[in-house]
This record gives sequence, structure tokens and C-alpha cells, in this order.
Amino acid sequence: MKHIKVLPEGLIDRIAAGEVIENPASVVKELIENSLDASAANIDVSVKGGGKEEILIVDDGEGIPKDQVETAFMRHATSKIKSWEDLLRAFSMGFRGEALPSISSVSIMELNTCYEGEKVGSAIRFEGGKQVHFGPAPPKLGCSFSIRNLFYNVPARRKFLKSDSSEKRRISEIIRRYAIARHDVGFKLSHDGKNEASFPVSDNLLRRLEDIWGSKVSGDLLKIEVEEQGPVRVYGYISKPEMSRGNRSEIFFFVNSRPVLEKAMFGAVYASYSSRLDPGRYPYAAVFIDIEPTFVDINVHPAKTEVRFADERFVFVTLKKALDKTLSIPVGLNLKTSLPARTISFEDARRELFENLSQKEIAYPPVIREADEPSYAPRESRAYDPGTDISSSFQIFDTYIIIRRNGELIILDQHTAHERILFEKNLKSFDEQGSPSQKLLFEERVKLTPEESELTDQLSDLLNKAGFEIRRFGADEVIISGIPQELSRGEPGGVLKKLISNYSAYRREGQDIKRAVAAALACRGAVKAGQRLSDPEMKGLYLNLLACSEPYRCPHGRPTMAVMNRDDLEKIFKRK
Amino acid sequence: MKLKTDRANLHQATSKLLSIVPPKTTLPILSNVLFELENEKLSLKVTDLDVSMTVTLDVDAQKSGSIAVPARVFYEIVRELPDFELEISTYENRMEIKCGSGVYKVSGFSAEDFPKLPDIHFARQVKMDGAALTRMIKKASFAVSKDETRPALNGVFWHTSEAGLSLVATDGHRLAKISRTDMKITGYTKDIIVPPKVLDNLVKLLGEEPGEVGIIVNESSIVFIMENTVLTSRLLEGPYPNYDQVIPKDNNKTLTIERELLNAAVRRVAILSNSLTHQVKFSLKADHLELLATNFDLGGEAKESLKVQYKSEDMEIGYNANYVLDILKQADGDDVVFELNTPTTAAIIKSAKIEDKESYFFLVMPLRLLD
Repeated sequence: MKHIKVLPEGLIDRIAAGEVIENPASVVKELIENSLDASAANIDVSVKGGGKEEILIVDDGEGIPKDQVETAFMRHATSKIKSWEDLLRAFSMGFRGEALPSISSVSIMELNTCYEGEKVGSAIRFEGGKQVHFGPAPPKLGCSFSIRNLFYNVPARRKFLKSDSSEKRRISEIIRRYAIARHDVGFKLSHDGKNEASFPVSDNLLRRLEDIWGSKVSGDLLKIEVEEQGPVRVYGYISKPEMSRGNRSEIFFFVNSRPVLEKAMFGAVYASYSSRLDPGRYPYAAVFIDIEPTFVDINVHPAKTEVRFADERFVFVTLKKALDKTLSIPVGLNLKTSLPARTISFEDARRELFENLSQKEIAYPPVIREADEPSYAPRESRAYDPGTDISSSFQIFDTYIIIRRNGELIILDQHTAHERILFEKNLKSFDEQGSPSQKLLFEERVKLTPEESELTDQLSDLLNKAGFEIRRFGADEVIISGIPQELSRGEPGGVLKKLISNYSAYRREGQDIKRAVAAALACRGAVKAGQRLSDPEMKGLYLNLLACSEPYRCPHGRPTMAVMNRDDLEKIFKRK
Repeated sequence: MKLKTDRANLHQATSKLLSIVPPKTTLPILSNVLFELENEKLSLKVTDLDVSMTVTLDVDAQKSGSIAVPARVFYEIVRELPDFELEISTYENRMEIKCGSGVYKVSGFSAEDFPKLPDIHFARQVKMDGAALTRMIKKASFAVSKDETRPALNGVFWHTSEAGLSLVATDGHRLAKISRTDMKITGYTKDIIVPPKVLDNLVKLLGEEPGEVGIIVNESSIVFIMENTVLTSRLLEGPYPNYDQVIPKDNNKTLTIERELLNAAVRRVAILSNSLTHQVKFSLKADHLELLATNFDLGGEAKESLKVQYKSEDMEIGYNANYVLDILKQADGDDVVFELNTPTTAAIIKSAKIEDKESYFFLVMPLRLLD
């Protein structure tokens, strides 16, 4: 039998560090929380090599008194709670007292700090959790943490860190999240000496959101009607349904100003927008919930991004009510008429018109899914010759095309069919000389999120071949001066953003970069369900589809056509 | 309500109104035409909530009143009736139409249910020449964007200044601007964006009854007043892009060519252009223009050589053939002039003919050519 031993202190710290510290971004997160708790007005983060080489965080908060500097690096040492009652009421960000010892045990960490009123500051240095230096430092108010060689003594962890640019992206996401949480604090991020983001101190949330999302988005934000129900108060901003995007990455939640990820809250947002947005579209949102600390448990996980509400249902209902109230304002209808009570006003009439329209859209015919496909599934085994006898063709639900050909009935999904055609065309043009670009009369300046910005850079070659003309304008903006002809209807910035978010989705499915861009472009350029087509267009679609090398599936696997022959019909009517 | 009137009169009026009635609507009242009879005048009103039209007729009024009835059904009845005098009367919410030996009854709605149209202050109207305005609208409106993601571009921009009235339209790829020095809007002189539906209808009406048209502009609407007909439209919200800054100032290479010659050649060559991009290459040499198109899918190639006036260096520029054809259709005169700079910047296209009070030009952005 092996001997059971108590683990040495350093090893315990390293194991515990794994829970709090996963990557450079989590170091940044923990230290930003510390700075915020120390009432910092400005937090500057500079990183090198995606944070793997060095993270430097400088704040102008109150600092740590000399006699407490060493204590701060002891496990579960915290200035923020003293007892269980305090934990229940925890308003401050970091309270578990795990961050500093955890970080110091897996890196080379230095702190220079000076507490208000002290004439000399303190400097302390740890290497792999061991204190190697403690002495005086220049009296600069606040804290300055330097973390180098993260996980140098935990090779297994270090191996799992991502590329510099991915780690940098995670860090900038963290900073964006806290920048929204605390618009009254200035944030700066630089990477390898280059300025990445800068959010100056702002006196209102909307201004900060403009810095984060750009003025185009912020101009289309609605202020959430403040909703107060018992211990819960909801406020913040959400975008008008017209200002939507293809993924949920710009929906932010804050509980007591702490950024959180919480299912019930996402659920409330989806529920409120579901009748106002097409499936697959998501709003921009910064939703704040202030709740009496005794009604929420934030001590679920060391990373503290999860919270548990005492009454989740109540929070959901309150939030949904606030969002519904905000969204039910008839947007963009400013015709003012004063009317007697009985007549329909323009606003009412138009609102009724639009609400009915959007309800109709929900009841839209369902797209054929594999599961509910009847027995006449496409036969992939047989190659089709287009045939000369394509007689009648017609469209149903403005979505499916029905063609009779040589005694068979062919049903096309116009969107997936067109997607397949464009997809193959795009792939071909990437291999050949590229597609022409329609130059724009009005160049468009577009603000990108860090993720979008990075992807735009990564894809610049393919985007150019596809017909985009894009050039950088500062760290997070690009100027679009040309777009592919097939995408030329549509606002260029929106086209680019949608394309990039589609691309991310396809990339997650493991497609190679060229196919992913081709598929994203195809999806964007293809005719949509609900668009009426003329007879030649329908036949053209069918013939072009059959000319494809893999005509039966769209680039992401949905069927493009179903075939029914006499046998199938006879089976349905029990003649056979 | 009770009145007598001439069938042809009513037939003509209702056929005009039908172009405003929305073909499909979830708000049933909008498929109705509102009848209002007062002081020997019968007003017929329709609206789709954006655009409204009122036609006023002199009738033999016997009893004032109002009712809204299905517009299309009413129109079809009147269209099929023989050319006798019509007698129209209402009883509660039903309308009865008597003509010759026929009696037709249809249920309607109370006028109370019909959206109230804004009041019009006729005294504020500015008179304009209908034919000149029609020309302006036609020359600009083809360039209006059909893409709904940028609503401001979905209309024609009206700019009034000391120098007169200008109409501008653009979809971000091409632009049309036409100005007249002898037209001016007074009163509300801020820039406005007018949706094309009302302009299309105005052009149609002015074609049927030429003459002067009165215009009233408010902050949120524009009103056109003709002899018997009043058209009202909601305005689009701006801001309209700053088009002045994209009008090139240094296009110093000029290409002059017979308009009809170029039009016919582009049409022919475009048949074999790429079916998505419609790209036609303009290859310029001294006094010589070659048009080229290729379509890989068809294995097609087309080439036309034209004699032109061109004195600057050789240059190759790609254009979407449809954009060029749209513009050539709107330019007047025998010759058109292209003012060019580089293959990737906007071309200015003008008529070689210069008018006194009217001036216009078109911009078109090229396609980036592949090597």
C-alpha cells in the first residue's frame, strides 16, 4: 500500500491555481477585479506574446499598505470578507483570496505598490510561489503587477495555451467585458507595444458602448426601461431588432456590475427577440441586473462567471418584462398626428401592420429537415443528366421549386440549391484569378470587434480574391472600398460582418479556410427563402445545380433537392 | 350619402387610386377606398400608410355622408357597368350602386375606421412646371437603391438652395444628379428624401394630366397637388450620404461618343458578359474604344470596336454593363461625354448637349478588373 501524505504547500497552490488561472486572460481578469476593488480609475494592461511572455497591469487604485503586502499573497487572504455573512453580501469583485497566491505559484510575479499616505512603496517578487525579494520601491500610488513566464513550472498547462493571437483575443474580450461593466473606469490594452484598445473614462454607459461597438451600433441602441421588482433592478441597452448580428458574442450580462454568463438571462433575451428577429440572428446587448446580494450566490466557481439566483424564474420574468417593454416601442415611426379617439392613427395602423407581419414570419413554412423527410429522400447514388424535357416549373411558399422532368417530380430548396452553385463557383474563382470587385462610391468605415478584426486580417487574401477591397484604418477599424458583385446589394459593413460570423461557424465545423469562406460567401449571396423567382430563374437554378460536382447537398450539408418518381407516388396511394 | 354621377368620371378616378391600394395587407381597412361627400364634392381617398391619394370629383350631391368600400371590387363594378348615369347611396354600412337596370350592393366600413389623413394647407403650395419636374424625377430615380438595409438611399434626395432645386439618387455604385435653376421650394427648405413610390405615381399622373403641380413640404411629408388629385407621402429619414465629396474634381480625360452607337454596342457585348457581374471592359486608345466581354461558363467572348474622340493615354476600365445602359437611357442628345481619371475611380457621364436652366450628370463606379 502506498503511503498517504499531506501534499507540500507549493504543490497545493499549483493545483488550486489550475481552477482560477487557466490562461493569460484569466490572470488579466483576476487582476482587473483586484484593481476595481481597489477603486482604480484607470487600468492599463500591456501584454507581450499573447500574455505568455509578460502581462503588466498598472492601476491608480489605493494600493496595498506595506505591512499587508506579504499577507496578500497568502492563500485565502483577502481584505474583502471576514465572515460568512460578508460572503453572502459580497459586493466586491474578488473575494476568495485565491488570485494572487495562485498566479504567483505558476509564474514569476512582481508587485510594486504604494498605499495612500506612505512615503516609500513596496516591491515584492515571487518565483514559482516562493518569495525571493521584499523591499522598498518608488512611491507610485496604486499597484503595478508584472507576471512573466506564466505556467513555466507547469509544462502541461503551458502546452495547452493557444497561439499569441488567440490568447490576445481572449484578453481583449475580458477587457471589453469589464469596460462595459464599469464605464466609469478607463481601460487600455496594448500588445507587443501596439495599442489595441482604449476606453477612456466615461460618464455614461452609452458613450462607453459607442467606444466598444462603434457609433453605427450605438445609434441603434434602445435604453432598457428600468424595471424594478422587489430586490431586482434591470437596466442597460439593447439593440433595435434591425441592428442584429449572426452570433451571440455581443450579448453581455452583468449581475451587480460583475460580468456573468447565465442561461436564464440569455433565455430571456432570446424569448424577447424571437418574434422580432430571424432565426440565427442575435442582438447587441448590455444588460445589467442589480440584485440584493442575499438573493444571489456568486460563489459557484472560482472564476465567478456563473451565478446562482435564489429565484431564477423571478429574474427571468422581470428581465423579459423589461426587454419586452423596451422593444415594443414602434421604432422609426415618427409620424405625429393628433386624432380623435375612434380613428386609427398612422402609428397604430402601422404598428398593427408590422406586428402582424412579424407574426406571419414565425408561422413560416418549416424548412425540410432530415428527420421529417419522407421516403422520397434524394437519391445520391444516381447521377442526373439534366434532360431536355423540363416542362412546367413552379414555386411553392416562395421557397421550394417544383419541376417535372422525364416523369419525375423534382423539388428544390431554392436557397440551398443556389448556395451550392455559388459555393462551387467561389471555390473555382479562388483557385483561378479571383472575382471582380464592384468599387463603392461611398467608402465605408467599419468598426470591428477584436475577433472580427483578427479574422479579417487572417482572411485578407481570400477576401480580396472574393472581390472585397478592404484596408486597415487604425487598430479596430477597416475601410471597405469594394465588394463582390453578388453581394453588392446590402450595406458593405454588414455584409463583411455577416460573412465573418458565418465563417466562424463553418470553421468550427472543421472546414478548411478556403471552403469556409466560399461557403460563407455563398450563404450570403444565395437567394433567400421567401423570394419570388421567375420561370427562367427557376430553370436556370436547376440546370446550374446539376452542373455542380456535388449537387445534392448545400455546403453545410442540408439537402438541395428531393426526387419523387412514379414508384414513390404509387406507394403513397397504396397502389403498390 | 347619396349622389348621382357620370360612370366614366368615376371609372377614371378609381383606376388612378388603385395604384396606391396595397395588393396584400394585413390591415383590411387599407384595401378600401374612402368616399366623402360634402358640398357637391366627392373625395375618394386611399392610403397604404406611406403614400396617400385623394381624387376630388364634382357630382350631383343629394345627401352628404361617407363610407369606405373595397377599392378593387368597386373599381371592377364601375369598369363593367354601361355608360349611364350612376346613382350611389349608402344605408348603414352598405353601399348601393344603381346603373341602368343593374343594382349592386357591397358592405363597407364606417369612415371612422379609415386612417385619418393629415390635413393639407393648400395656401402653402409652391407651383412648378409638371413636365420639367417629370424630367428631373426620371433622370434621377433610376439610381435609387433597392437595398433595404440603407433606408436613406431608398429615396430621391431633394436639395433646395439659392441656385435652385437639385434631385440626387444613388445606390452606392452609381449616382445621378439633376438641377434646375428655375425651380425652388419655399417655406420648408431643408433637404428631404422622397420615396420612389410617390414619385412614380406622380410621373404617371402628370403624364395623364400635364400642367402645373403644387408642392408642399413639411418636416415629415411631401404633398403634390394637381387639378383633381392630391398625392401625399411620408418622407424617408436621413442622413443622406455626403455625395458632394465623392464627385470627382480632377477627371481630366474625356471620351466623347455617339450615344446610340455606344448603347447598341454595350447591349450586344453584354450578352456574352459574366452573368453575375455583367462586366464589360472599356479599352481606350487614341480615338478608339474597344468593348470586350467574356463569359467562361458559355465559353463566350465578344468584342466591338468604336470610333470615339479620346486624346489621353491608353486605359482599361471595367463597368457593370447594366449601370452604363441605365445611364445612357437617361442622357439626352446625340453625344455623351465620359470624364475619366483612373481605372479604379468614378467616371462622370454627361450629355454633350448643354441646356440653359437644367444641368445633370451621372457617376458610375468601375469594377476592379482581373488581370
